[in-house]
Amino acid sequence: MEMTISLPARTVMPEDRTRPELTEGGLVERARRGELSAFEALYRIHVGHIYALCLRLSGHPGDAEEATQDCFIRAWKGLGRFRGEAAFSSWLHRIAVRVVFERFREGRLERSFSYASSDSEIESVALPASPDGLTLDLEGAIRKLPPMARLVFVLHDVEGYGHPEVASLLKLAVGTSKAHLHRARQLLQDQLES
Amino acid sequence: MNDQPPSILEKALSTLPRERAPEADLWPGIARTIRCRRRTRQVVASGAILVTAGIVAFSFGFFSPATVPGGAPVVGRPPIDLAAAFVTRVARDAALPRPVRASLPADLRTLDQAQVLIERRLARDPGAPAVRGLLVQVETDRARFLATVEDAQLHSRNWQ
Repeated sequence: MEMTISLPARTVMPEDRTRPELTEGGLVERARRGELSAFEALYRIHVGHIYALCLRLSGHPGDAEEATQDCFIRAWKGLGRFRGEAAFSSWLHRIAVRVVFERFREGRLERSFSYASSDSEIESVALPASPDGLTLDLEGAIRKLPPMARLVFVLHDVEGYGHPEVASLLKLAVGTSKAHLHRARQLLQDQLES
Repeated sequence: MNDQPPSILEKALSTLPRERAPEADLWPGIARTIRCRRRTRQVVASGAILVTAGIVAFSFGFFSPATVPGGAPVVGRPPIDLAAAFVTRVARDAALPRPVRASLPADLRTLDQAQVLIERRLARDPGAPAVRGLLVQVETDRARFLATVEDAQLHSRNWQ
């Protein structure tokens, strides 16, 4: 049986990436000049990672979609300030974290955070095992973490930020960041061992 | 405090996917917002041109009610104020899509008033290219403004 694979119309193919105007730097440069199609290509490249990050941080698909949109809109507005000193993905990543954190502070994520405000709530959640029966549905467990513990855990353990960066992004003291991480790990570990 | 996650947690972390696609394609909403803001910037820029032109015209006495044949002024404020009010409103509404609807009638009235003044001046002197240019500018601004409002309303509905 013949199988066909359909790709999104504007997917950047691997061989295209050798062409200067289609490399990430080239796309950024073109987007900076106002080419929306170049920015769309950047969106297609990064949306998966940014959405996954927003979903883990916010804990709710609707909030994550709004935050992802907001992130790319802010990125478009701020392209003039992007100097290329860091990777575009890192720059975008930081925007996404700021967007989610601002929404959290403004109470716009209350819907997703309100149901997981106590330690006992996470302990009461029965988490389904993965098909091989060995790993926990970590996504579900993260979603049930208390808000700040979740933000710190996702940034530190999932995304690989150091405590000073986490503290700076979330406007916390480094010690507080460490305390939140310890608490998050403890709650998740309890779930894993139960 | 240990900086490494416990091994059991580390194992679970290694299974987490780095990427996840949103259920819906978010690009159309992003592109719409970007286009809407871009157009708003153009409108504001046009408004600024209008203000500048208004200042020039006002300096030359184009819009002085006393110079309009038949006497009574159309509005109580000089056109420079009208244009400035228009620009201020557009800028404010661009940041807050929801109030666009509320201020729409006032913005359109401002444009209408500016147009009436310019047309009166043109009736006196149909050949004045500077005044004709102002009329074209007002008409262009109106078209852009309406398109911006339409986009803002669409965008607002999309996000609600």
